[in-house]
Amino acid sequence: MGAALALDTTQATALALSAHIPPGDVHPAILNGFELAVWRDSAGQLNLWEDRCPHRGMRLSFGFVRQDRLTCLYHGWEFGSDSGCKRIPAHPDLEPPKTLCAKPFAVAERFGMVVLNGAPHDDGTWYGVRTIFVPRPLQDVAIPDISETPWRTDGPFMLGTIDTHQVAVALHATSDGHSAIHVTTTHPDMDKRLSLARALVDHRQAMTQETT
Amino acid sequence: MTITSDSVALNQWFPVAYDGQVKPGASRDTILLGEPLTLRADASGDLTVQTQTGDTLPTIRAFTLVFTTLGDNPRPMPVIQEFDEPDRRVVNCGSVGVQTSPCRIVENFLDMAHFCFVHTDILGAVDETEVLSYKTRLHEDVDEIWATDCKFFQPAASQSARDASAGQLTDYIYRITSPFSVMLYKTAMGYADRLDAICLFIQPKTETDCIAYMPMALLDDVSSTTSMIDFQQTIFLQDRIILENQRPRLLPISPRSEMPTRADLSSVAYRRWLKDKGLRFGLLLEDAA
Ligand code: FES
Ligand SMILES: [Fe+2]
Repeated sequence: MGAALALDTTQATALALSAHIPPGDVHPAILNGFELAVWRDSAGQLNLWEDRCPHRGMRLSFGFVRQDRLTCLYHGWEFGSDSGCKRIPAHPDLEPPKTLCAKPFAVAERFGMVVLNGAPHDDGTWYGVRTIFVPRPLQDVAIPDISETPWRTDGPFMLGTIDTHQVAVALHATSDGHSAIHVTTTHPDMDKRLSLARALVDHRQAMTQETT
Repeated sequence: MTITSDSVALNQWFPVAYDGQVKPGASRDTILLGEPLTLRADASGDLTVQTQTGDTLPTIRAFTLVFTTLGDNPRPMPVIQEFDEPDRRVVNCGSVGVQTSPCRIVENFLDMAHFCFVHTDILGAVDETEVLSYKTRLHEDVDEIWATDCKFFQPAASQSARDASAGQLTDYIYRITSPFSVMLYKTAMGYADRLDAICLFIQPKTETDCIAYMPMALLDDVSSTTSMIDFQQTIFLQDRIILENQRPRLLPISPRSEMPTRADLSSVAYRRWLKDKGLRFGLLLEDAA
């Protein structure tokens, strides 16, 4: 309990759907037990930080984004996109020292997903379909059968086809033998994307029942 | 689960129930510092506390709670005379489970800087966030840390203040009465020279799973007991959301692992005091960064 977990920063890992983090929002993500906060400022810049405030350890994903700063829920410290603390409400006249900052990790977006250690890339328009969480370790996760062509691997992604459009799937281990499956597509038809999302919910159901 | 070997933690008195929690003739299982205990109430409601091997532990009834200890030489119970003053309302707020280190819970209780954000419009207002400087001092005779000269603007400092006004500058005094208990004195509505006393005693079941008890001795003959308890419980449930989401759950006491400011003077003094005592239970000793 309490032992410091390390984050594997040598690999690219998709952690969330870009569509789930609109400007002004913050979300938690867990990779192999390591807790992260993902948030986006009004200009669309994405930030991926350790989910822990440097002041008294509060999870930053419980905070809120206001005026392009992530504000901690506990004492209201405000952090900018450069991860530095800009304001300490308990001391309104104090200029926070440069050493006060959140811990950032390299992040980029690819195929409509938020990717730890990802390389920036212009992929055109991708839509979020759904993230599902399954009670299985990564090696036991079955890939949803949604592509019309065989899957092709590209870094942490698997790419397939639906009606001549692309579909991407990425997996990661969250914690305690649980995994996340993220799915995005370039398919412009909303009804098609909804039916894909339903197929994923069924997929989760099937994997949950087999486990228990 | 095994009992801790930390002699500092073992040699303390801990609450294991509040008065009336175990009905006469009934029994209840609980855990203290990893040790399973059974509480049995006799026909008059008096509790006996036993370990699984059948050893009977000493008990003390005080501040609406029943205390016990697993140590041979426990730190003396604190003296809190307000509970003996006949004109006070002594209120027992029950207990709340909190999954974190007991030391995180003590620190949260000492902290004024969170009032505006966690207890918005009750203990703090979003436009009055400043924590004015205050003093901390170790009272060596009783081995307690006191924080004095604390002041904070509060929209509704208590149930009686909430009914009476639109806000006030509240005076606070904090007392750290043991590594696992803390109390505060704060401005009582309608009294210039006397203060409400609110205590927090923690029963650590394990290093990161606790039960918090909050007995109070208040100067309030207006509010109903239910509304006073509701007020305190509302506050504590707001704190619990914070407490269970601080990382790590164990309190890190390496000075570099978390960054205090002037407002955290009492927390800094508490951490140093725990370190000097050689406490390990509930603490993360190595650098977590
Ligand atoms: S813990 Fe984040 S501001 Fe205090
Ligand atoms: Fe609080």
